[in-house]
Amino acid sequence: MKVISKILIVSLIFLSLPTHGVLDIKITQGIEQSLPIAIVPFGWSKYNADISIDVTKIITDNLKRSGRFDVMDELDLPQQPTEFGAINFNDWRKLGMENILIGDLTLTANGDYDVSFRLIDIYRGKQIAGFRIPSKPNLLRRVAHQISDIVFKELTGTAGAFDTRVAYVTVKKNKDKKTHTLQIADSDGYNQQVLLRSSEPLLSPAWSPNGEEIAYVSFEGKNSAIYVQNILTGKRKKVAAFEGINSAPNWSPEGSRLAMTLSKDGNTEIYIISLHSKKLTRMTNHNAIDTEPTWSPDGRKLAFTSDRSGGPQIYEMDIRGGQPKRISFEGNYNSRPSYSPDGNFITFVHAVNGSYHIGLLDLNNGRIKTLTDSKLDESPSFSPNGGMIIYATIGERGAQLAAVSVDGRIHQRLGLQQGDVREPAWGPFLK
Amino acid sequence: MHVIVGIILIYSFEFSPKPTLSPNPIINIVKAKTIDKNQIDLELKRLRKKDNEKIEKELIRQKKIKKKEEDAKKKKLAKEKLKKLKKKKEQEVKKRKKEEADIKKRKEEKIKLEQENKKRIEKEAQKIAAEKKKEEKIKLEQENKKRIEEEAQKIAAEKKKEEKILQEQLDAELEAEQQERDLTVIQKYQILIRREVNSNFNKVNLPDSLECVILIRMLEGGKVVEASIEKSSGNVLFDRRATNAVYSASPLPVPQEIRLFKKMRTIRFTFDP
Repeated sequence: MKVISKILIVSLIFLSLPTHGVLDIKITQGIEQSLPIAIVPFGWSKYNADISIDVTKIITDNLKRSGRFDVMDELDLPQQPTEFGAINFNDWRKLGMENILIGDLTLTANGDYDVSFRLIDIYRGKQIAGFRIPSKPNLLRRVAHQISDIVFKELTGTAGAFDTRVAYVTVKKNKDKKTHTLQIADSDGYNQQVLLRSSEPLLSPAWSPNGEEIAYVSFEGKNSAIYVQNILTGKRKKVAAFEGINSAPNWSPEGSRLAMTLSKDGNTEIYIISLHSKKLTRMTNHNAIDTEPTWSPDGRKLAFTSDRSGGPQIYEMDIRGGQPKRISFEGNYNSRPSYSPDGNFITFVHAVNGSYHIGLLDLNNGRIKTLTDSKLDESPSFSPNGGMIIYATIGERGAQLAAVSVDGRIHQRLGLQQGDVREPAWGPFLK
Repeated sequence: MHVIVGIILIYSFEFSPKPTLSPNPIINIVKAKTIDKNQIDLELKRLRKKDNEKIEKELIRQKKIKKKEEDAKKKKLAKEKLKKLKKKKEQEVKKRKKEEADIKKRKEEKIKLEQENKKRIEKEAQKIAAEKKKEEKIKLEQENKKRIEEEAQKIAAEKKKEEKILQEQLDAELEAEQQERDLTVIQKYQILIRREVNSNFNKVNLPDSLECVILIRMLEGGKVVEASIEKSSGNVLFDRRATNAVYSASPLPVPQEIRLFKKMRTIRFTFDP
C-alpha cells in the first residue's frame, strides 16, 4: 500500500514537472515605464555649414518631451554609427538598450536634402522602420517631426503628434498698452508664425479639420466677432458679428459648419452656422447660460457648458435637437469641454475648492479624473493622437502653455515665449 | 687432383727455400789437370772394368740380401698368419663364452623384468582401485556440496529478490523525495524568473486583452540565446515588448547545478497582462 502511494506521488510530481524540459511561466504583471531609446547623431554625407537645423536634436527633444521615452544621453552612447552595418549590437545590448535610431543627411545636387533614417530593434538585430525622405532646407524641421512621429508610432503603438501645430494667443503689456497676438507654432514651440496682432482681445482660436483655417473671436471693433482666417494666405472673413456676444467657435468634423455661442436672441445660446449658406440654427433654448459648444468626433453630438442646474456643468445633446443631458456630476464647477479624437473622453476645466484643474471625463462610465494639480488651468484640448491635452496655466512667468498626458503621468511646460500665453488649441494632423 | 696440388704445394713450400739458405753451394769444383789421352783411355778402361766387377759383385750381394729379406718376410708372414689364426680362435672362444653369458644374463633379466612387471601391475591395480574409491568419495562429497550450495543459492536469490524489491521501494521513495526537492528548487527559480521578467515587461500603452507565448532557450548561467514567438498576440508591438522583456531580464536566475538547470533550460512564457 505504501509502495502504491509512493508511485502515485511520483507520477503526480512527474505530471507537474516541466514536460520535455520546458518550464511554463506566466507573465501577468509587467511594469509601465518610459521606453529606452538611443538617438545617434545623424551623419552628414556632405557637410553644409549653412544648415542651422539640428535634426537629431529636434527628434531627441520631441521624444523626451513626450515623456514616453527614456532617451540615452549622447555622452553615454557606446558608438555613433550612421549605418546599419556599423552597429555593434552587443555593445548596445550590454547597456540594456532596446532601440536605436540612426540616420544620415545627404546634400543633393540641387541643394536639397535626402534624410534617411533607420529605427533598429537591438535585441533582435533588425530594422523596425527605415525611410528616406527628400526634403528642402526649410522643411528639415518638419522632417524631424515626421521622423519623431514614426518612431513614436512604432514604439508606443499610437500615432505621434509631433508633426502638428498649436495655435495660441499671447498678450504683451507695454506700459498701459496691450498687444494681443494670434500665433501658431510647431508642436515643440518652434517655427512661430503670427496670424494677427490686435490691441483688443483675441480669444478662442479653433482649427478647421483640414488644418488650413483658424476661427477665432476678435474684439477689434469693440464688439466681439467671429472670424475665419486662412493660415497660408492670411485672408480672413467675418463669420458672425451679431449684437451681443459672439464667442466660442468650434468646427464640425467635416469642416462645413461652426458651432458658437450667441446672445443675439437675448440669452446666451448655442447655434450652428453653415459656412457656405450662412444659415443659422439655434441648438439650445434655456434661460441659463449655455456656452462653449464642442462637436463630438462623429459629428452627431454637441457638448457644452450650462449653468441650468445652478453651477456650470457639462451637457451633451444630439445634433438633430432634443433635450440636453447632463454628463458631469462631480464637483460644482465643470466647464469648457472638448472631445478626445476617439470620442470616449471629454477634457474640461474641473474646479475643486476654488482651484481650476484639467479634468478627464470617461464617457463610458461617467467617472472624472483630475489630471493636473496647478491652480488656474484653462482651455484644454486634445492632441490629434489623443495622447496629450494642451492647456494654459499660470506659471512663474505668468500664463503659459502646458500639456499633460491622458493618463496624468506626463507633464510638460511649453515655454514658448515671454508674456502671457493663453487659449491654446492643438491642431489636426498635417497633410 | 687437389691432393696432388696440395702435395706439390707442400713440396715446393718445404724444399724450395733450402738452396737459398745453404751457405755452401753444393758444387764439385773440378780441379783441372793436364793428363795424357791414352793414359786417360787406359785409365778409363781400367776404371770401367773395375766398376763392372764392382757392379756385378754388388748385384749378387744385393740379390742375396733380397732373398734373405724375402725369406725373412715369408717367415714373418707365416708367423703372423699363425698368430692371427690363433688370435681368431681365441676371440671366437671368447665370443662364444660371452654370448653364452649374455644369454644367461638376458634370461635372468627377463625373469626379473617379468617379476617386476607383475609386481607393478599388481601395485597399479591397487592404486587404481584406491583412486576409484577416492574419486567416488569425492564425487559424493561434491554432489553433497553442490546440493547444499544450490539450496544456499536458492535461498540467497530469494533473499536478493526481496532485497531488490525493497531497494526499488527505497529508490522510488528517494526518487520521489528528489523530485519533490527538485520541484521545490525549480519552483523557487520559476518565481524568481517570473519576477525578473515581470519587472522588465513594459506594458505601457499596450492593450491588456492580448496574449502571446514566447519560447526561450538559455545557456548555462541563464543567458537567453533564443526567443521565438510561439503564439503571436497579433500585435507586433506587444510581441516585441514581450520579447524585449525576456532579453532585458537576461541572464535569468537559474540554478547552478547543471542537472537542475537542464530541467528548465527551455521556458515557455505566456504574456497575459
